[in-house]
Amino acid sequence: MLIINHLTKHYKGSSKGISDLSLHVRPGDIYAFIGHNGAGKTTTLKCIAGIHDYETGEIRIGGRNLRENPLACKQVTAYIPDNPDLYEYLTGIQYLNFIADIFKVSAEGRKERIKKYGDEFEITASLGDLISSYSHGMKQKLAIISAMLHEPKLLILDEPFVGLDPKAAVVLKGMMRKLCDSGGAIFFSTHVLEVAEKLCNKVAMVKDGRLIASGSMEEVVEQGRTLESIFMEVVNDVGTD
Amino acid sequence: MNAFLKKEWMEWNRTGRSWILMLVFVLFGIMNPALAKLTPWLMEALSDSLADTGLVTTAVQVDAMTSWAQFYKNIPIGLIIFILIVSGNFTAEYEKGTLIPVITKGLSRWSVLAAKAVFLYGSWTVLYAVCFGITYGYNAYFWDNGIAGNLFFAAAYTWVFGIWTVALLIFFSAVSKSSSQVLLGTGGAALGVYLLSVFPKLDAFLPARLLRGLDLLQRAKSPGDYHANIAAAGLMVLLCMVLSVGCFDRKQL
Repeated sequence: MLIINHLTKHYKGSSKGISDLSLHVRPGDIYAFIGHNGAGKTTTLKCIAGIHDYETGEIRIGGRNLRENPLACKQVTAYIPDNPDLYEYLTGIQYLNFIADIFKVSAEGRKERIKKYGDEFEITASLGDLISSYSHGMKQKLAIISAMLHEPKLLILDEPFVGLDPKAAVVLKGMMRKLCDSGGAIFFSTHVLEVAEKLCNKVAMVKDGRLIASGSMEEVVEQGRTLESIFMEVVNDVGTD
Repeated sequence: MNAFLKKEWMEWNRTGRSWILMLVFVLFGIMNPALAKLTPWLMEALSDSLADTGLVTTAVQVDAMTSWAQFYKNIPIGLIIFILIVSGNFTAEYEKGTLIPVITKGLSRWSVLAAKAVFLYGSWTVLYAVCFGITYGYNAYFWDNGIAGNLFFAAAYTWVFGIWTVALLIFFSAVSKSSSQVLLGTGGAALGVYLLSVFPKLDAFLPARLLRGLDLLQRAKSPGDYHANIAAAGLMVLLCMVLSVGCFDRKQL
């Protein structure tokens, strides 16, 4: 579903970025991407989402090269940034219809999905209000619904649980599992290691732009230990090398 | 692109920008004949105080040309207000990060730029047409527009000047990060061209001359005299658009 080969991206005038990162997210995977602040998680996700260009390497989504077929790749991908920056002067329903128009989602399809996800996140009654009146959590819910409108095969999420109330977090986890059960895949960054350990079947750890561990959760987290202890150990080990 | 155009329209209405600009251009459209109409009355009212200072006022003759002269004085101010209000059209989206969800949802950057350009060119065209139409209507009612020569050529040339300025704004919006940079770039480029037009040899080729529609109305110039200026403005608009597409495509959002 998502193949990253030797991805390298650095910002001008900064040592921050990612170096020679390779990953393979298969259909059905819920893949956690963890690392400290400034490790390169968001940069990687933005490269996959097509926001940032990269110096070397290759990103393939659904078998297609992102550089050569950016629009085809985006048609099967949904990206939700860590901060839901939406058009404040539109109402929730106007924003969803705007996104559905971009993806050319049929009138019936959008109506059904807006109702379904709106009810699940308990936001249907507020869809007629201006986005400027929404809380951070409500904006996050709206961003998630807008991402699901075109039924993506690959979900790229940057800190998706930040700002969500516990019930909405449960709904989102359910949606993530359902997407993967139907052959989709999810690649997301998080600082909540307990969630990653319980929800994901694969995990990748990044430090200073370099991949320091990756694989299935069973491979990475040895028996009797937690992802948190492994993460601290691996990060500190690499730091002292 | 249609979806983005619709979004722009809804946002313009909600923020009140469309109504403010419409009000400004309608007011300018009414002010042009109104000022012409009020001039004799104003002169008469001031005649006594002017007489005290030794100035003698005679009867002032006003016609459609007086109103059109006012139109060509007011329309650059209208254009400046338009540029001031729309200068943040792109940069507000960079600052708030609102383009990111759109770009990542399969809408090409080219489509975003094209939609914004169509919207800005269209807005200028509608507002300019409203102002011109109101002045034309009142002039026809009070006087006779026939006194003004090449009326529609003069109007079209001033409109082209506006299109050229909007193209500059789009280019500087594609390369800048803030609306102040956009204003500085657009204003600086327009001022530079205006200053260069002081030299007669350059004036024959620069868009600044397109603002002098009154020369056409007074038949001091013919429409053909502006062909080089139109061609130069057209080429610059094209160049601005090509460069804008290239820069916007590489822009880090």
